[in-house]
Amino acid sequence: MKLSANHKINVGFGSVLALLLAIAWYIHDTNQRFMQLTELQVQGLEALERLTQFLAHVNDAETSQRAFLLTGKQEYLRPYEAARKDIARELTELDRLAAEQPNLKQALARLRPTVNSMLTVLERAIVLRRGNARAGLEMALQSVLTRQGERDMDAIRTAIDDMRYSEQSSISRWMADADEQGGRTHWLVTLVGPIAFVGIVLGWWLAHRHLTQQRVAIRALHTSEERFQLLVDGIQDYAIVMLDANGNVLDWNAASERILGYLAEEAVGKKFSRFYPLELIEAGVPDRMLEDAALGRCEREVWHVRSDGSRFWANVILTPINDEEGKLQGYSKITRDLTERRAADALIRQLNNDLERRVELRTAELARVNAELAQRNQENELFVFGVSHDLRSPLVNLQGFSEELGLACLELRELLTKTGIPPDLGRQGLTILDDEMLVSARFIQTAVLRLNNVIDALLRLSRAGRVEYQWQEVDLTRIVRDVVDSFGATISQKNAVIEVGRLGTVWGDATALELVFANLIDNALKYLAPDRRGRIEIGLATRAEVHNGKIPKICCQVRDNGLGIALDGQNKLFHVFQRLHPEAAPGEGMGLVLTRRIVERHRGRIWVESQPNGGSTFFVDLPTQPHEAPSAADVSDLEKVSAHG
Amino acid sequence: MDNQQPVVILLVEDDPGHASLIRKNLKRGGFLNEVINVSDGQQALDFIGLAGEFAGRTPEGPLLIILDVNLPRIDGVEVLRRIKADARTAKIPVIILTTTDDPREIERCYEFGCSVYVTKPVIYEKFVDAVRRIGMFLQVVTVLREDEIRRD
Repeated sequence: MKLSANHKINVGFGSVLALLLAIAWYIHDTNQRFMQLTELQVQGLEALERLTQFLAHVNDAETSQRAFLLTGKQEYLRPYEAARKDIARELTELDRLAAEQPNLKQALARLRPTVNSMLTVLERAIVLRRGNARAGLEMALQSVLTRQGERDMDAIRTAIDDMRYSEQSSISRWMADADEQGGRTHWLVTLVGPIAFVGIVLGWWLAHRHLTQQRVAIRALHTSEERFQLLVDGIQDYAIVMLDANGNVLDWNAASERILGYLAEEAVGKKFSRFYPLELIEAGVPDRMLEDAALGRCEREVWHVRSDGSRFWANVILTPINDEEGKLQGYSKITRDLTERRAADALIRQLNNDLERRVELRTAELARVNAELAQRNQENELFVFGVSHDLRSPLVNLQGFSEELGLACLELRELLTKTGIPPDLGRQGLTILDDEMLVSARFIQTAVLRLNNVIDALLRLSRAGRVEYQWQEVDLTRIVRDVVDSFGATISQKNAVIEVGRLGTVWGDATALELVFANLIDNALKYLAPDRRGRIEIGLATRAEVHNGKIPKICCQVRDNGLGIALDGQNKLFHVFQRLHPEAAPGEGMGLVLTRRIVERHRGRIWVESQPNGGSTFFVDLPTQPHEAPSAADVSDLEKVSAHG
Repeated sequence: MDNQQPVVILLVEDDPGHASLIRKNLKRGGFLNEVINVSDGQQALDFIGLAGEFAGRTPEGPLLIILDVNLPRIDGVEVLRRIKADARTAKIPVIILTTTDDPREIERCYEFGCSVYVTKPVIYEKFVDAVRRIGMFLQVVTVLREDEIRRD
């Protein structure tokens, strides 16, 4: 069992006290006995003295009597008389001393008849001597001569000697006893004294320490309470109110007056429900909150009303306060004024609603614009498609008939070289034919071919946006190898080298992707630098994995060591009808536009890094996983065609 | 047997220039067959079905149709569809001749049963070759004898 500090101190001091009491009693007892023994010694010594005196008086009496007997003179009898009195006194004194000494008492009892007998003999002789002056002497001498007196005297001396001896033994014994008692007391005082002293000092120190600790604890408690009080009073934004079990206000913090709008004396002792508006009180809201709080804790936001009638929106937390046995003692009510926050919330809600409505409006507008753009895009594409077709019809005639013209020229030539034609006329005719007609026909044919290519490109472009893709996982490596194979003739003609690295698979339309790489490779082959051997590398770019945005992609690159493209040229590269090196190769300037359109329909990206005469690298981001593919008439597609087509 | 009779070529083409060029090239390619030119889809169907202005026509042997796609009234694809949908005319070989190289349209035409699809501007050597092959298949092509070509 663990003892409390107080209990320990009590027990400690109790033990020390008991020990001291025991010691004190023991010392007292010892001392008592010592005193007793000392008293006995004094009595013994007195007895010895008195016995000596007694014997001396007996001798005096006998001597004095003999002197009287011999002289008969009365004056010699005076010492005898005095000795008789002294003997009687000594005997009385001895009796007194013998009261606590049985041995002495017995010895005195035995002595007394002998003394009496001796005194009687002495007295009888004196009487005889006094009664008859002559005969009295004789008779007195006779009586002395009987030796009775002498025998008594001897007996008395012997008895006194015995008694003295006995008394001296007793005194020695008592002295020894007293010494023993004194020794004990001495040891007790010298040994137990310091021990008790140490015990008391130790006890005092422990008690002092304990009390100090208690004092510190009590002071800390006071400080803590003060601090807590300061803390509670220092709280500005919360009204903290203590309620009793019935909901009456017991106490509150300083901020309560301001927040709740009552003076302390107006509120303390009153029901807390007075902080609530009348309609809530009538509806039983405060009582219900108290009931709820009794079950645990009640937090609610309700209207409160101040004494001046103004209202505020309050956050209220009611918490039950139970004693150690779990019995309800009261409640704490913490109130916060949330009016401003409520207003701010309302404002935010309002703003949110407004914003949402505006976003909705804007979204709707965007959707409408998108739809419009998509519509316009489709119209554009249809227009391009229609125009291309309408252009192609006359073009077919131009082409066909220019060829006919050429054939006709050849026939005419044959005619002119035939015999029968005047040589002058024939020569003139041939000059017209060769220099004018055939040359013209050839120009027409070249122009027609070019126009035809343009129309083809426009048609392809208009179709690129409309054709439905077959979305699937595409082995890009295989596709690129096939494309490179299809360029076999051109590659060997240009004496170029094409290397294809591993590209992996992407998600897309195989035909469209084929076209992308066909265009890029075609481009690279077209614009190789004439002064060095062409080298084209196709593979994954170092930044092969791209994850920006939601769609995982790979980045391919087509790198050549050809003519390269100046910076302003790079910007125009992907726009319609841009040809940067018209002298280097024939083309319509539509290939990269188409390529870009396809890549963007794949949710990819295409761009170029190049330096004039330093070769070009085309990068293509392509998705590796299925994604929500844009429809054929997607807005992003639209921009390109409507802006450039 | 019908097989021995020379094939008649029905050219459905609204552009007279195109029609003329086709005729010239067929001739240059060595075809002496009769070429009948109609300029819209309805006429073509009438000719094939012996209806309308061709109600009184007497079929003169196997037919080969060269069909443009962009035609007034009924377009070429529809004409093709109707020819192929009708069991009586389904076996007539049809060469589609058009300015469109739209793969979907080409595919559609082949699905409907066209024999050859040729894109304008025509490379006439290839075109004539295609016509000849179809003719050989039909074994009804009238080929000029060499001396006749020379004479021409």
